[in-house]
Amino acid sequence: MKQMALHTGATPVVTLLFLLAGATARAQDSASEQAKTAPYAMPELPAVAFIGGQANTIARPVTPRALATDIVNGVDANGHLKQGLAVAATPFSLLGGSVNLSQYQGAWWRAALYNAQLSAGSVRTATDNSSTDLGTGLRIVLYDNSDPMRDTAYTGYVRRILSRALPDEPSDAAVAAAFEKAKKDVIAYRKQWRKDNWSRSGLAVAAASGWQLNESKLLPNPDNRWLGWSAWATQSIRLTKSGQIMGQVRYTDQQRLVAADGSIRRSAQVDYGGRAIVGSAIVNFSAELTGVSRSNPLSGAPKSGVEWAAGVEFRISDAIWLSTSLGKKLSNDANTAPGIVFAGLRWEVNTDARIQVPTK
Amino acid sequence: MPTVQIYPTKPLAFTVVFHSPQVVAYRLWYKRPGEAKYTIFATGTDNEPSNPSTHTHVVDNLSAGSEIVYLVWLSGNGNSPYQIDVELAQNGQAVPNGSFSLQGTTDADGFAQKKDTINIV
Repeated sequence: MKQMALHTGATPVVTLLFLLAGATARAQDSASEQAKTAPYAMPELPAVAFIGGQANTIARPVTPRALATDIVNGVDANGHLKQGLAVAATPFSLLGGSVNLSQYQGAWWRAALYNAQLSAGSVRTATDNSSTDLGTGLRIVLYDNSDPMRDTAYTGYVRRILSRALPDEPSDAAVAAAFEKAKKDVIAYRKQWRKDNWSRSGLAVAAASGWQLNESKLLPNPDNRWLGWSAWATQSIRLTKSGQIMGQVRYTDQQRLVAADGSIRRSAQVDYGGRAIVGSAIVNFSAELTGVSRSNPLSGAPKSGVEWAAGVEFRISDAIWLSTSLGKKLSNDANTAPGIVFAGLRWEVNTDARIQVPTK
Repeated sequence: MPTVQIYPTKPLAFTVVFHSPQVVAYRLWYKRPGEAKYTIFATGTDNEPSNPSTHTHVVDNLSAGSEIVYLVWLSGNGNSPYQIDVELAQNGQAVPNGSFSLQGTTDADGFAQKKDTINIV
């Protein structure tokens, strides 16, 4: 053990008083810790996740004509692909496939078919303003028992809410008021349902690939280049009504351009992680282990590394959670000796639960 | 606002067919010429016991100038595509221009609403 630091600092009581005085100043710290402990989730748009950007607008066409329109709108008059766009489409319904609710609830494969999603996205190339990275992706949720639409009890109750709220006369004002009330009631019930069912099991897979388009031109161009591909798999398993373990693995095969000599360098990377969470209305526990392994890392990047974190939080009032977490980071960077480079214990006061249970 | 021509003396069948996995509740009204208020002639959901995906409701004596209003509410997963087909028929024959496909995606909270008036001529 080369390095180790345990940051208890003061007694918990003193620390609590100190933190209460400066809770606002630590909002950013909380946010970064939140990201670290955020539940593993399959990217909503694998295409955009692969190229590492963020879409300003997401089009969700439901007919082939709408898809064609979105594609045309994504290209400017000079044939340049616009940046910051994303399209997400479910091919089954796009092609006119039919799955009603009883079929969706009766067969997992029908639900998987209906939810299978193709995506595409464009972002500005990080090193070249005139070029665009184009990503394409596929996401399939093989089964998801935390999907409320697969629960006949849930859908039956929502059906009663909606049918009882239908207005007696069809004026716009009556319809709008009744629909708002129905939505409010459904959202409240869904929130409670998710609270009771968040830990249910699920399995999802995704894959994505991408290209760098020189001068952002969509047409074939010898200067365009393939960026590689990536694949994800996420499995969650219910332990109890209030406990779940979740694992995710991602494999990425990247084709990087070496600026110095213009050559293409291939690197493969495996990211993996596991997380256990047990929660209730008043106390949450979580433990997390994440790691990375690289076949041909860029200079400065470690070949592999493992990080763990564990946390607990208590609800001390309706609006205040007291939380603490402990974590370590293990690095196998070739330039540094393996060992613990960080360990910390901290107390925080938050207005919301920091360890959020996964919800859709 | 669609317009359809029908035989006023024959019953008009209004059929709703569900093609996507959302909870649906709907209500149908008619108003004959000269009437001040709409009258409800059908209320349903996606889960009637007879047939889970196809529902037919019949209304009589709609003369020219009548109106039919349909209101459809959907609740499902957020941003999920939906499709509901509405078909009008008389004597088992489809009414010309009397088929409508209600398509779209639910909003981020999983809701969608479709409401329209069909004018009878």
